[in-house]
Amino acid sequence: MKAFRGAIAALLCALLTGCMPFAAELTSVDGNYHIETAAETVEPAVGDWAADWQTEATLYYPAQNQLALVETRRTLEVGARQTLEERLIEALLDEDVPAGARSAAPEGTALLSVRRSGDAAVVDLSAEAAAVENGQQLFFMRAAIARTLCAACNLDAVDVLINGRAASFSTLPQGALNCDETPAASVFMQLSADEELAASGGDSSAERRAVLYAVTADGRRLEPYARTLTIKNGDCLSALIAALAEDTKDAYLPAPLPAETPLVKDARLVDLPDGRRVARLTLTGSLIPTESEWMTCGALTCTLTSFIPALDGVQIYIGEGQLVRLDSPSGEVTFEDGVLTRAMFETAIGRTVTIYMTAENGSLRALTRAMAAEDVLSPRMTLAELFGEPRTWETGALRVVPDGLSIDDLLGVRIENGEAVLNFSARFYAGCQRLSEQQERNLVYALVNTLTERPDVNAVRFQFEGQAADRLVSSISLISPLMRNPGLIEGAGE
Amino acid sequence: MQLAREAASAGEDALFQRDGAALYDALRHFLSGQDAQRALALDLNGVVQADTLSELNGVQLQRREVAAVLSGQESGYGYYLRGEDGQPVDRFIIGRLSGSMTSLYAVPMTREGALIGVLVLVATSQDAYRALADVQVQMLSWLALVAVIVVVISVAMSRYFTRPIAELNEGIVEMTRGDFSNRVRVRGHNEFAQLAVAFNMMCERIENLDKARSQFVSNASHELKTPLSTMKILIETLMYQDPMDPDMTREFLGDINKEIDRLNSVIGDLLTLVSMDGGEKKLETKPVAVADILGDNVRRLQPLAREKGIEMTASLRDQAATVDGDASRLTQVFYNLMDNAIKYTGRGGSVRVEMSRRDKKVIVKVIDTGIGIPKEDQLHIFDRFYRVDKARSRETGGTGLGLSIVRQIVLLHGGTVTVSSEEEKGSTFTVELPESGAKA
Repeated sequence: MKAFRGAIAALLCALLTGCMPFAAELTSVDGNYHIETAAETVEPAVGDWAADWQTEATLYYPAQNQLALVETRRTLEVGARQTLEERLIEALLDEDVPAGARSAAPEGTALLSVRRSGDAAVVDLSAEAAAVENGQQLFFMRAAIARTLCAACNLDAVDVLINGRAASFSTLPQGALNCDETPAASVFMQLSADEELAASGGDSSAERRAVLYAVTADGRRLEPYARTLTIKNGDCLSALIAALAEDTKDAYLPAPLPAETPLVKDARLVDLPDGRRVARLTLTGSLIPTESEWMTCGALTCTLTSFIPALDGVQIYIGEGQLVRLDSPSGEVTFEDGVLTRAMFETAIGRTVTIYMTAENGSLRALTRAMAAEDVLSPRMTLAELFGEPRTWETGALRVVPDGLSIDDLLGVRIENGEAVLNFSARFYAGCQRLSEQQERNLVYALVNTLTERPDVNAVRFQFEGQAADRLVSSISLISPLMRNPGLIEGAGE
Repeated sequence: MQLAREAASAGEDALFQRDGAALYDALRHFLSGQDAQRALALDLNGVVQADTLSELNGVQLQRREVAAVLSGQESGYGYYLRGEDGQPVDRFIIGRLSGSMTSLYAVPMTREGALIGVLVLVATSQDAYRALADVQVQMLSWLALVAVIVVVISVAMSRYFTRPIAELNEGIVEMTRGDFSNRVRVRGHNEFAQLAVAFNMMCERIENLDKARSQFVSNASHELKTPLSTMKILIETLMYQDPMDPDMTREFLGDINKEIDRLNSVIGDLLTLVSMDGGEKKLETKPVAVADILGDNVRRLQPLAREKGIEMTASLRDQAATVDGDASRLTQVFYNLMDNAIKYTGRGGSVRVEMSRRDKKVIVKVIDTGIGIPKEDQLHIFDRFYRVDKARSRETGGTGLGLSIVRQIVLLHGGTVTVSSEEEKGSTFTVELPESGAKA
């Protein structure tokens, strides 16, 4: 009777699902079915090497009538020593302008730098960019750049500087642009209305998106981050200093200024006899730790010059004396005129990468590390962070790489055609053999997810001494290049 | 399976571009409005590249459903029991109703017609299986019900069809036992009903024949025994009464002789009937002038009629009319009819013979003014040995077979004989014979 009922059920299943019986030629192995894999010969990754790569991107240009943005789709060749953000701006400045649009920036404008940290980016254009005809053209240049970067790079805010200074046709800063879908013309109208209100001399209040700079927890880098400010009666200096004391809610980027006791006793904008405009800050000197004095001043300088229009630098007074000398990581820096400029801290501005380590709950935790801009393109430098120990502020994070293994066990990295080939040593392979199934998964996908943070990597292939291996330990198959596993990251799906 | 195909379609672009985040998002987004528990996207090596639960990434899923799709089939599916870890651990055991079951549906993921991976959709099939089991039970119940109905209908139909046959068989059995009174019930108008009607008609005829046979045997025995008994008495009287007056002896012997003649007549008539029944006696047919036969017979019986004081006349029109027949047999017919008329007509009565022709028939009527025949006897007067007044008819010297012979001969000639009579007023016997050439 059971067999009869089963046969009826199977027949009904077949009728309902429309499925055919399984292929008879498949071989059973321990209850499972062995799947023949397609053998793919991959050259061993010897040394570190990355190829140029291509990507499809949408570029935005100001419309001829300066009332909207015109988009165009382009295939871009991205150089191995170039970030995607740099290539996008370069394309906007150099490539052909689509029909109905005008150049994103005045002729001769060049890209000085793009600094990105997390979801904020700061673009610094050459002085030629200042040759815009009016505030509207300036705004649409900034908007075109911001929308282009936001569409391709998953950003939240983009600030555009001209020769290291915030550009504006009025005393009220335009601030960074949000990556939302608000029409550019609407944003421009709002900004214009705010400026008119502020210029009228009455009580005014304007909201702006500002890119602030914080010192990373390890004290090595300055990192930009975006915040929304409320500027009352045009006093953007006070608004910025208050924002710098607010909690960033990111242990890696502590607030540059203490919240409880004001570090800045006095702040004002001063026009120097030589025509430069500076922000003069009087600090409570005893509150600045000596070892972070350079970086704290850098955070203040970069923040103020990036936001306040036409600000050339910052003068800092500690107590009664003006600060004219600082100890930088590269040695003592003396600035006779007492004006700190953004250019002095340009190299300190880092670029963050995201690496993954194991969290207490067994998932992977995303950790941010700041790196020198020139190092961020090196996969080895990024993976070196992965091989290192969690930082003190990274509580609960556990190293995914077994003890005794180092970045030197990575014999080579090759990035080509969206695929990263990691060639590890036999020592690395042997050192992983005692990993549990979960540890194995976390190690493999920490490597995969870290590398696939790069826009030029979609999948990661593993080699050991140049040879392919079916498995690292037991569960994870390495016969295929592995794609990113976002579900394994802590907080995914929430 | 359709759901799996839709999920595959949702993730194909991301798998082709090897965008793990987009693939994961696409599958999760797809499952958000579905009952399926899990979706897996596998590459061409069967390695999981996206798992909405992020547990099997990197695992080579060696399942036959996956292998089926990778080997080129349109789809693969299977049912599995779930283990404590929530993973499918065993093949679905057909017939097992309990346990948490999981169904795996595998479909190809393609790009411009080329296989780029496999989409595996995992769904709890417990509800579906229970629904299926319910359907199964319902189907079995319906099957059982239908089977019972079919059996009942089959029995009813078979009974409907075999019952007439059984009744027919029963009737035949009764017939073999000698009971011809049994009749089959006629139902409907189908072939069985026609068969039953035919059977009943056959029974009717056989019964009538049997009755006639019995009656005939009884009558024949009686007719044969009566003269024998008379002769036995006369002979015993002659044997045991001594001395016997010679005149008396002569009279007795004369009576015995009469009985012997009578016995001879009866046997002769019987032989005539038997020969006609069995077809032994062939008619020697030729055109016969009926008027001639009638005229002869009237002349032969005229003396007898005169002796009884009866006026015998003949009205023979259309004297040229002829019939194809046996002259001697036809003579016997009309002789018998005229003789009977004379016998049962009293003195002063009359017997008239008429002949006419109508509708290619020769019609002969023998009309008397005799005692007539009661209504109830008119139907039987042509039966063998049937007598209206048995004592009287025997006195007249009849054998009881005369009219039977008449009817038999007339029927052999393709004609009819009828009687119309009224008691104490007379009888009219009408013979209609087809005129020569009319048969053709």
